[in-house]
Amino acid sequence: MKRYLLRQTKSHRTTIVTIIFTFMLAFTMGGAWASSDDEEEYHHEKEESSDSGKKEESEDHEDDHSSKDEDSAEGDSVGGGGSGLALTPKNTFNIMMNYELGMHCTGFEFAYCCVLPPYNSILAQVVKTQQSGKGENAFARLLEGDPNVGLDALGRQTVLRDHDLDENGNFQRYVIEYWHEAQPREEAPNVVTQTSRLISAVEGNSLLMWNTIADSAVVDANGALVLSGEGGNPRLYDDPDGANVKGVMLGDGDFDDPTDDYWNAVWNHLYIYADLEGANPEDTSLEGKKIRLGVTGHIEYPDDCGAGLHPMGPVSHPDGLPTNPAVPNDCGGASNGNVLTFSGEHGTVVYTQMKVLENLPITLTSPRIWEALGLPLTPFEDSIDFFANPGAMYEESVRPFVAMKARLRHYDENAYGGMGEPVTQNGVPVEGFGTAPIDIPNCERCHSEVDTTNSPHRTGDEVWSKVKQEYDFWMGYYGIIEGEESDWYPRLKSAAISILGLHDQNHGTGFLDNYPACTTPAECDAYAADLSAQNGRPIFAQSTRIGEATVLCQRCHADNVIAQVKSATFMDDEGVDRVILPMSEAIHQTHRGYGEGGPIAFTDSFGRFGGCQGCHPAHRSNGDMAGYPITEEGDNFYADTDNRLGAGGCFVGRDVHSNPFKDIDGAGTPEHLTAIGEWLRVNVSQNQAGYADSDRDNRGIWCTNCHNQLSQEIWKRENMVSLIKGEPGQDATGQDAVNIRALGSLGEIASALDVSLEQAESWLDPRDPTVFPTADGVTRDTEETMGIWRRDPGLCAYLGGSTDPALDAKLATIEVAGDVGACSTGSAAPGPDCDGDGNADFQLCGSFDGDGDFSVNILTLCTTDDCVAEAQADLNGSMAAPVPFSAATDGRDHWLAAGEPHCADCHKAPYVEPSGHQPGNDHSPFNYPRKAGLMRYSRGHRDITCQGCHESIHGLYPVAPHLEQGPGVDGVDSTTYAQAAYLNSDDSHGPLKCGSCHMYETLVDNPDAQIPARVCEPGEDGGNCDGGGGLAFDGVPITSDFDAAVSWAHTFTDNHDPTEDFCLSCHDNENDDVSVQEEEWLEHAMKGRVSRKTMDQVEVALTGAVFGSDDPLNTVCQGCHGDERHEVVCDGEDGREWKLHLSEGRVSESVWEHVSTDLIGSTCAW
Amino acid sequence: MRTLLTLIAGSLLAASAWGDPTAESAVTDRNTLARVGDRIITFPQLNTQLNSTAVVGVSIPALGTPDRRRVMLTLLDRAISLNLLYLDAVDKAVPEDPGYRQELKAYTDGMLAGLYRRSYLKKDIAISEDEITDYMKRHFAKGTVLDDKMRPLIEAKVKKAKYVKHKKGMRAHLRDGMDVKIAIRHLEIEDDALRSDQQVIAEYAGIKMTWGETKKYLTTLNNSIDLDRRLQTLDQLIDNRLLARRGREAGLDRDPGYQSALAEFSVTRLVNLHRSQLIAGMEPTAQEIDDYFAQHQQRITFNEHRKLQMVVFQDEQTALDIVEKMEKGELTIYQAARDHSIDPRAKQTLGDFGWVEEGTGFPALDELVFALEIGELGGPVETPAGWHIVVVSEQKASKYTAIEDPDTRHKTRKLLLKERLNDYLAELRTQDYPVVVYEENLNRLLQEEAQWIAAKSREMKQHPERARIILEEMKALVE
Repeated sequence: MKRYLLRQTKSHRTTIVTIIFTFMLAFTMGGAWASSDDEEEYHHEKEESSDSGKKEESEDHEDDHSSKDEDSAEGDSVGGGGSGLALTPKNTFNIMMNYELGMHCTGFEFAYCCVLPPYNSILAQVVKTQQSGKGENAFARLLEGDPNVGLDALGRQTVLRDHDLDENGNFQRYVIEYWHEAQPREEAPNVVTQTSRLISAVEGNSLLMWNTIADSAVVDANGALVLSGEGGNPRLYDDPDGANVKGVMLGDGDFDDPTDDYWNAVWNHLYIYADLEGANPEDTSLEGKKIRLGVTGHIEYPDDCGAGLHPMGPVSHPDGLPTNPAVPNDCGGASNGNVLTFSGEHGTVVYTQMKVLENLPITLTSPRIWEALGLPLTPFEDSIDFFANPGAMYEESVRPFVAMKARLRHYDENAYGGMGEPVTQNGVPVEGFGTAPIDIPNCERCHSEVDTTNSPHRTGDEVWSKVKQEYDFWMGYYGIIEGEESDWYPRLKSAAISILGLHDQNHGTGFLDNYPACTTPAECDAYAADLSAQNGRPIFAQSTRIGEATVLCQRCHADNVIAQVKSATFMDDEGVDRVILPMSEAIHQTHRGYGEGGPIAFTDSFGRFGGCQGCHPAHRSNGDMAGYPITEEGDNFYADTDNRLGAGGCFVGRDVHSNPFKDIDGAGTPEHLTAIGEWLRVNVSQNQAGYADSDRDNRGIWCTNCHNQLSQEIWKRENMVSLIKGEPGQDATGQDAVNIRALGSLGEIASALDVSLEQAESWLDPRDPTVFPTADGVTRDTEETMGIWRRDPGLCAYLGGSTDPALDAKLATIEVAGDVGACSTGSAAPGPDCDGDGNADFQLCGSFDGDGDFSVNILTLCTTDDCVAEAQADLNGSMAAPVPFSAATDGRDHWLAAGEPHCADCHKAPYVEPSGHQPGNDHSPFNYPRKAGLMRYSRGHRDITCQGCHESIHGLYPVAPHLEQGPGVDGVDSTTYAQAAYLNSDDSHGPLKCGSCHMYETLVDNPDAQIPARVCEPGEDGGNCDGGGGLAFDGVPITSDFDAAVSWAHTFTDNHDPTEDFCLSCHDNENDDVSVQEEEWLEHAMKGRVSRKTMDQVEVALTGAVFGSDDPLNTVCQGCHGDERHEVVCDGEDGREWKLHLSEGRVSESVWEHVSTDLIGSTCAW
Repeated sequence: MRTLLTLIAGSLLAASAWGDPTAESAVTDRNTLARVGDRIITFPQLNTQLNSTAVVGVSIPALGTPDRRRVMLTLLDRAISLNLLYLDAVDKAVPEDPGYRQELKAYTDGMLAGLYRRSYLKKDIAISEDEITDYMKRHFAKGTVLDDKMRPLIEAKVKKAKYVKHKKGMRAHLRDGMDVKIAIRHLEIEDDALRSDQQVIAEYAGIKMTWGETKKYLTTLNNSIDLDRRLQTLDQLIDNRLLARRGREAGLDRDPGYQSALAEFSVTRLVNLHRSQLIAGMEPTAQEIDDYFAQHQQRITFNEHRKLQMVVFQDEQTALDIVEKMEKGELTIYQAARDHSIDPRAKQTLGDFGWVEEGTGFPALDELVFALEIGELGGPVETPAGWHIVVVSEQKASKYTAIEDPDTRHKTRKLLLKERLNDYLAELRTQDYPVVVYEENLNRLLQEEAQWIAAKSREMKQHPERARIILEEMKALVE
């Protein structure tokens, strides 16, 4: 078993590191901007460089490739409806970058708590675009990892390999360097100057996580986590304040372990067995075999190192330039530095333990993605020095749409991280960029206030006294002048005290029992010295005030956003142990609006709850917060108008779904709406003119129009084998299930869900009835309307046949039985006691491992009637029972639950996510059979992720600016605005069009259209076309209709069989000619007709294997020529010819590797 | 090195800045760095702040470097200033400020209410053996053995039951023997606009609560929709007052924890208030702002910054040849940097040079760079480093250049106010309160640190094989 002992210096920027760094930096700087004192040293460097500069190099080979192949007439077929002029993509490489999450907390210092760690991931795919009609660059393709060179210490691939050859006849190899840049900040009075945009050295600068004390989990002698209230351990369960919390991971009670900090401790619920791809070579669940994340002696995270052991980025250069770092920044040796790693064929997968199931795999990144995972990004550049002078830190300093950047470099095994010279295209470095959103929810707007409508405090109450004390402490500590300088930081700190204090007051915890922990110098001396001595690092004031280590919310609250799927329990007032609400439910329930029975007055004049944008990040690109739904005093800005007018934040006015100007320069194709989408268009998005302050007719939809109960209800009942193809599963009677999403009206959908139309409307557009009496006189029931945030009634209610909408969707079909003897597994654990007689009402069949841990017997992850029936058929005496999420994960986790909103809710097929658990779309626990997958993990056209073309999560493109104010002026995310334009050949703002990767033509009557040049018109003859039927969508030829072309492209996924239509587009059915002896077929890729990938698919579809898998020398090789095995070499002209077999797709990659290895014992550095 | 380790481990944070009231012996303590009136500041306090550099806002200088002394003096100065402000506030009778007293009253009410609430909820929470036995009898079958695993669970159950009982009885307890009257008829929402501030809306223990003193709590949006909510809020207000009252009656205001918390709050609030009042009295005139700008423009103005692509050549002719190629479109600046620059970093950076500030580079190059348009190719110009060609890729305009500009005025005013506050503190130090700095102590302690580091550095040089151990020792010292 591999164990990665990554303990690094607890780098609280120690003196030693400072000295070393300073020296190394001095050696690397040089340059003309050095002062004249540096002149002598510079000349010395110059002489050295002059020698090396004599080495002449030819121009980039990729530039050669980018010029059009003059002999490409055969390949460059001309689509009949097009302009007849085939254009090449403007980029040789497209680095499509997407973000993942962008979590947030009360601030970026975690001394007291709170909520979520920062967690930003870079996800990228790299496309080598089509640059000619035939030969090496005849097809666009995704570049994947090289398993042979450049692996990091964790065995991850860091090198991209390319079929194409360089001028020496070698296969090309690259690495992707990454870093983050804050968006520009203009100089403003009182605000710290931005002298660098690099965000890399966050800890201690704009973040305190490693320097925040936390007691990381301890494991017992068997390797199991020690939990409160279990095994006789009374800690927390014996809390005299009455919290009585059971099942909390405990530390060892001191702070002297290398992992006793927030960032390490927050991941303790996760583990691996061998690597970060989910390998479990011993197929075990034994505690002692688990390698736990953030636990001392297991995986230990060094400073500025992400959850996937990628570094934040390069160390800072004085000019703010990302450079190869002089000081290794490699996560304690785990990574190769700031280069993206490849998630391989399994994706990046870790495990966690559920209540009744061990080894739940968590897909952190789907397969074949270039990634840097879970980075602790903040919205502040390195030069901000947040903690130095908070009086100069205004909220406007937040730069929430950070640019993640990537630069393609030639792989150089001798360079740091393999980062050789940058690759250029047209003389310019190949780069990619994308938005990495990161922001702070402004809890302080209400929590640091007193006596305002939405403040939770009243003057003279206990919690307020502490909040006020905290505020004044930091004002005094930093000498901030009231009214003259920023009090944002003291407000953030006091907001954390408010949250903890209210939790104490309302739930009996004792987080602030010791607050303030030290008030005199002597006390503080003793306390900090004690902590410092234990923790082995200086202890900041931030860490001492509450007299406890920081409160890790997820120790008690399940939170699937960090894959913590198990809540602790607490003893209620009746002395009964109850599950603690998961974070999402706890927070949303607590912050419900007044009309929903909550304490907050945040609905706008339409009755839509403003708390969504009010609490979730809403800073604009330029830091502006004008029109933020919560005023600085915590009041409701939009009480008399429309939330949606507060455009420019994370969602409102930025996202394509909420942007009135989305159609200005997007792809220019229709929305293809379902009945639900159409209802929202008519009733919510459009026809807003005439309402208060509106001169806009289209304000887009609001958060709750998607994140609502209707979306959940549809997903619960969905049963589709393929959403894209509209292929249903079967219902209980064996009939085809109804494709609910495709029904023609909202009424029909409501009917299919067994609810009234009024109920469906209330779910679809939840309003506060106390604020918005409906025009039709229907009084909406708030509990029903807000069902999505209700507490789950539990498994017993589910088993009892309740139709309560709070019942969650089903997760898996498991085996249950009346008694253990009936279980096929031979063992069982007691199920719930529903009737209260003290006995379990049934047994959960399963097995116990060597540690005595129980795992339920999952029959199938499919929970539809037909799947359950099928599972039942194999059982004898026991029963197949589908169980809801809530039973397995302690609550209705809606942040990243599979039942989150889907594209398919509003958009017709094929503009939908694939159904889960199709090949390539089986990412546990987010995608489920027969149900729409989550967009964030879904793949579409030829394995390109949905996010690759549409941007992340919400499908952001196009992020259009409000043109009356100009791009960026109104704070619209300027990074995303520029991103698609960088990739699209016509500089449009997304989604990506065909021409970003393929040679294309435009249409005479539609210059925005981009039709791949290779596509044949029906009946066209010549070029690639041989009188085939062409390609069509819904009967419309795609050569003459851009919308049809885009629609068809959405169907052409890796699960699509090319023989169905792709082959027939060029000629009649010639499947019989697909033969290992048929040269005409074997040359298809070389001649630029179909890619080798498509050929592989066809061969597999028709014969079960790619040609040459068996005895290639006597089959596929001789399909084209005689026995030329003596010419299979790596070097010289013969070598080049042999390598071209791979580059041009003359044989399948696996066959080429096989022959090469077989004959010459080498794959010629492929 | 025990002394140093002890010093460094003697971490001090928040309250460090306030210093300690002097004990006579402390003045002669070899760790004492300064005395402000009757308060002292020690080396361990500042060293901890220094090691917590992310918080205090200065970079951590290496042990044994001159910078370390400079930063330590900065911290010492800050600590002295805070103590001066406090002493001055007391002398200026700021503690008698009505607003300050009102804030203290609200603070103490809240803290005492909390203390009482917690102490009441926890009272009699200890569990006796009899209670455990009784619970066993009532909930378990006869003969069940009370083992070590079961005991804490039972104790928790019994404790919880007591806790809940107290919680449920809290309101009744608070109002025991007291007549609490709420005038519901004077709380009707529709009458809010008509109601007099003097209207009594509730009465307890002979104390009358008026509409005027409570309306800010009772007229928030939520409490203006629903009378029940309004009544709940009023009940909570009464409970809070009663909790504080009970807390005082129970003598909880003598609780040491409460006392020290109050001490902190009263000092920090006092100093913050005093600081803001001082600033309010220092408002400069328009002319004074103008004059200050004229005198300190260099400090106020933000110079233009530009981001560069740069190629450095050995000689002019090479540079000219390349420029010609670039102008013909045969070469980009990236390619020129990669293939022709003598800058050793060029192959990696392709000429990305980063941001430069006007007036800080070689004069000829500076002049060229800040004359170019964005995207324009400039040069070659010669500097001691070689021949340069540049392209400016981004610009950050200069700012605060003219006092007529509101932003410039704003920034100037702020700097002037800060300076005036500093002057005021300097005056306090020289005229009103004796400040004694024991510089010899500081020098000696820093010298000890420096000597140790120097010795270790020599040792590392002589015995590179021991480098790791020595680094660990150094690390331990810092920690």
